Amino acid sequence: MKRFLLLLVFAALVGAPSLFAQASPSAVPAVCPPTTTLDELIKAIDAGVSGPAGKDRACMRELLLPEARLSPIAKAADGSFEPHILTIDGWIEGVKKRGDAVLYEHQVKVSSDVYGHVAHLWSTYELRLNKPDGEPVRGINSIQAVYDGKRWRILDILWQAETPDLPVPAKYLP
Amino acid sequence: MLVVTQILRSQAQDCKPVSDIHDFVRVWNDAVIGPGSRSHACTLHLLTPDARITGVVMGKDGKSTRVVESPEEFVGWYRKHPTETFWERTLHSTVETYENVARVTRTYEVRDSETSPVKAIGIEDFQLIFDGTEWKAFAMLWQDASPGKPLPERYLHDPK
Repeated sequence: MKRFLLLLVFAALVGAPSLFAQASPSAVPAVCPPTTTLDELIKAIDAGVSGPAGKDRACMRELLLPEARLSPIAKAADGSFEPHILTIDGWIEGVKKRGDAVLYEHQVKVSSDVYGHVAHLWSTYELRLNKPDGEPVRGINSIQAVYDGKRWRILDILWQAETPDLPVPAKYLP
Repeated sequence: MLVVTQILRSQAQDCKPVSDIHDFVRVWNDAVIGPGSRSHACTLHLLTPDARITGVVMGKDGKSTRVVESPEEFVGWYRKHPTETFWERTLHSTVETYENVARVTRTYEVRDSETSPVKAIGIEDFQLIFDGTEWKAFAMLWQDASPGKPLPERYLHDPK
């Protein structure tokens, strides 16, 4: 887009748009899965989401950039569809409402495009509650990820859950 | 800024809605192409109100910075360059869609005009939502290609 140099000067002068420098890429805590590759990022998402609803979410937080958004698509009262935008805190609170449930999430088919420090992962997920071999609910995760110099982190996840009358197409299934 | 945005969005009735996701990059290019002084109503119309545009900019030291813009900031940059002209085309695109969610990842090429030298190429990744009537971008993530890290060949052409 070739607008970056002027953008940086503009931002320095007036304080907008927002800049997130990555002069010190963050190292992943030793207890969390590494995300130096996109394959590792996918596994780390599964690990971050899965587990008891009220579990410690430190590793899930580590996967996300500070400005990350987690946004399910929801049907509004007027019948239109819109994103329900959550921060990581909002997402954690939402999951906690599941009480004693245990979540098992797996990305079962992923296609990706990547160049430099930006990537898109188009992923079919399966989510099971309480039983790792139970009947799953499915949907599509659209994931934007950024490489910070040391590891891949999530910028945006926009997802839509499958409904009985709108099955995930076969081409997105394993 | 809010007043300007409201005026621009009110002008958007002349903008072509994207009802087929495969039309998105063409309509996006049509909205972006032209002088900086043109109306940006159609660009705004293609973005949800809470859309976010994030550029990853590489410094000479190899370190990256994320530049995050709102739709208003995004079109505001063009507005600050009223005498410049912008021309873009898409070299390659990938489209995935499931009901109300889609992604379009494309390789852009930027020139001053159709016959001018190439000024930049890079990747734009759009996350889109179908609101029931038309597709709009909820997030766009971009990075310019750099001489030291050219785009892979598969991103330079659409399959024949």
